[in-house]
Amino acid sequence: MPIVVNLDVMLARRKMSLTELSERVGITIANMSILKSGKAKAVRFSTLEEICRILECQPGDILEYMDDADYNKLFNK
Amino acid sequence: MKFINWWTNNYTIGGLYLVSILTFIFSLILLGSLLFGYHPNYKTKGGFVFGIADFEKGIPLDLQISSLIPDTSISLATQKGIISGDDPAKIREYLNDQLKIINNRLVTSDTTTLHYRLIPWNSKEILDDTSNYLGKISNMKIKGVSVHIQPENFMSRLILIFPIILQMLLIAFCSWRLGAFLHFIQNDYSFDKSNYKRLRNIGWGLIVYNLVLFTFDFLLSRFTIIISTQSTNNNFQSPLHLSGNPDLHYGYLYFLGGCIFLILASAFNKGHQLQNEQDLTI
Repeated sequence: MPIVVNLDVMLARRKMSLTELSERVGITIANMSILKSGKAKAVRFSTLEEICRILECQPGDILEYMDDADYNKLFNK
Repeated sequence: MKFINWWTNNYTIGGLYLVSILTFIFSLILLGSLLFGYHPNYKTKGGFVFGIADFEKGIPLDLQISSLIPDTSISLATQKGIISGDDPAKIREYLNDQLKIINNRLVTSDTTTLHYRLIPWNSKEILDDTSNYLGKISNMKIKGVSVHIQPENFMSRLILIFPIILQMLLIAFCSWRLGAFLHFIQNDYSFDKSNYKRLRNIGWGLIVYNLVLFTFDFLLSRFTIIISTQSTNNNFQSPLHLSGNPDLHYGYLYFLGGCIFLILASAFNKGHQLQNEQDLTI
């Protein structure tokens, strides 16, 4: 799926751990890990809203569209 | 509702597994009987039977027969010619003698028939009737005949036992899969991928079973099992000449059942996909 989740980049910029983010958003660390690894099928607006509020960023900072060729090259698929 | 839940939790799943195990054991016993020709039961000295009791007197075979026996006065053929048999004792002796032997075109000289039973419709049981009304068979229509045959030839055994083994295996397979299916539903794994596969396998199992027996029946229809009651005493004349084909348990209902299970399986597959998406929606 050529939607890349840049959550790890934003977490590094804000110097925040995944555990802390999951606790503040109110979802489990397992689900946050699924989101971070790009395995999620969908993201609720409410979850996205909370993440953006806590990380003080825009949805576009977290989600990025990439065409298939670049995506496959990046993830060696 | 509580009772139904309790019953399902405690007995239904276990019952299905038990049915599955028992029918599987039966099918193994029958397979042994098919391959090695031994009787599928064992009788103790006390008369207690282990194994499949219905097979005590041979392989039970249901024959489809649609023949109307016309009003028949039992006659005795003597050296002086055919005379009417009005003496009930003689007629009973004659009938018993007539019904002793079954000649079967498929299972010919190596066949030993120990017992068979007629299921008459609108008539009296012939063998068990000890009254004095055996002198005349009136308006008897034979709906089906259940015969017990003990073939010694491998091909004969294959023809007679194979459909029964297949049916036993189908029951064992479906019961086992249904038990596991209910077990998963009970543990809240209704839309697990394996549940979809179980339903799909049951559906294909029913369809394949139906197709195999249809083919088998088609091949078998080239033969007709002839039941002609030949007398051991040449002085007796036989009133009964029956023929038929084995009544195999298959039909469009099995096919329809298989299709319904496949439709159910596709619904469960869709449910599995939806649940998967739901689980991966953050």
